[in-house]
Amino acid sequence: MKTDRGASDESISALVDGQLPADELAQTLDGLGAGARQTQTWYTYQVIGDVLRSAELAPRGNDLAFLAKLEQRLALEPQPTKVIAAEPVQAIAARVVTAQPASANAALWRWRGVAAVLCAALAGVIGLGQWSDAGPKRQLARLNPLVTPVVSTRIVDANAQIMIRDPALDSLLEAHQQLGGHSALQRPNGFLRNATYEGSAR
Amino acid sequence: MSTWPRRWRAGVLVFALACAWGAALAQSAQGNGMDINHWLLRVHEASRYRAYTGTFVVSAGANMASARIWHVCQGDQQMERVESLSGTPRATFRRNDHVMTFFPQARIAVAETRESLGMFPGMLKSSDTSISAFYQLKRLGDDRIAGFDTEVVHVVPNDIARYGYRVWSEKRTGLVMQLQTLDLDGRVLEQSAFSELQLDAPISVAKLHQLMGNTEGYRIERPDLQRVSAEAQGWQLSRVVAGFKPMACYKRAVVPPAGASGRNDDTMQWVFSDGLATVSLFVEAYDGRRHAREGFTEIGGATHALTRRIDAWWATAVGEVPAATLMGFAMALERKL
Repeated sequence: MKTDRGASDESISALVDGQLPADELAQTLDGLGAGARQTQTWYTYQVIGDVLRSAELAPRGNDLAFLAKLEQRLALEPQPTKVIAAEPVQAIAARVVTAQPASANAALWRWRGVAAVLCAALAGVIGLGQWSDAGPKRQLARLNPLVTPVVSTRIVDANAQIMIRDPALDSLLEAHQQLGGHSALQRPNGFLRNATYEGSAR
Repeated sequence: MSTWPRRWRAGVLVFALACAWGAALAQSAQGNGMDINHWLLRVHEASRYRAYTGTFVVSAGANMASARIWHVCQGDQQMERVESLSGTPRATFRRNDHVMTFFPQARIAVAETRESLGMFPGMLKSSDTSISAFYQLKRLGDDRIAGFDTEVVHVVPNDIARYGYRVWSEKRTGLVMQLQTLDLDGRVLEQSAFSELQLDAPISVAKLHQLMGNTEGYRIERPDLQRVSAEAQGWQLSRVVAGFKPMACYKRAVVPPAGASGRNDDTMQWVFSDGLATVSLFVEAYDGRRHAREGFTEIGGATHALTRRIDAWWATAVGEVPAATLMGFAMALERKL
């Protein structure tokens, strides 16, 4: 195996410039993959070369803006965790229903599936586990971690909406609300809405 | 909720489109069963000629706010008082188009004239209104809100350039008790409602007058607002989003936030409306220190904002419309040569 010294900064630089002698090529290429430092040096020389060729190729604020926009759009995408979490809750709640021991009033309960689902979900959320029968307790213990993500994704959603605030934009929003009353629903409702609601930043 | 499988939603969308198409055909064949202009006029008049007091609640995105409301009318004069119960303490008074907002902590009172408030019902009565071309009304049934029997209607947009609304209006008077703004999938983006209301309440006009005029100890600020024409300011739209008409254009000093750098330049505000939704196009000089991020900003609720740099200018489109509609406005804005 080649050592780190096999890909010196000089040889990487020569490789980037296309001036590396043929007999050093194999050794340098091997050395490039040897460590993070060489990879970083390779990348840095590429960027320097790009900037020397054209300022357009340099990494700029736009890249960060793109990243910020991408993150924002991703946050708005439907979150699969909700679907994953929601389905097992129903499935397990249904199992909780069927796990009830058959009793004299079983027939009465069978058609009240919806009530049972609601009870199971409620019990899961508020952490009620004081059931005398061991069976349902085990089921609820499994239900709890599945219920929690649903609640937490909502909180994440809420934060995503509050987080992105820009004070300069707020003043424009205010101006829009003051003069944006060109709506037939403005008189009955819009004016009250704008006078009541000041947004989250102020 | 958004937990429907995608294929169902796609199926429902196809179905909804088919329904909308069918409804449009039926409507063109038989005429509109329930006239949207007539209905809007009724709810508008209800808020005008009634005296009421109540608690008004607004929820948008993850935020919620409430206020105590007083409304009274005497002849042609209408007076309203909105006392905020959440956030910064403030009281907003309105006498017809004149609005005065008191901020007791800062000892500042902001005096404004909102001419847009006086536009209706004139616009609804005129024949050139296009609201009925872009929205239709569907009766949804009856409901009870804050102890009042209400009639629920769905204001359905005819295309995807605008949002829909679900409105609960009090049966006897037509007063809007609750209003929801719905996105293109029918999900609630924001809503406002009376949580408690007393109709025909004994409210003294003279008392509200006196409160509105009591500015002692307050510094009165008047926003510097000039009516201008977008054309004279050097701007035009290469095309307009269907249904939206230019309503007004102003030049105003938008005060930069405290601590922010940059000059306090004039900002042009060009306002468009389709009768129900409103879009403001703001144009100001580009400032690299302040204007860093182009693109959409999610504000929460029905309002969206989109920023775009146009050479030496910075444009911001704000409105209670889908993002694509704001994009349509922002991309169509161009400097007149």
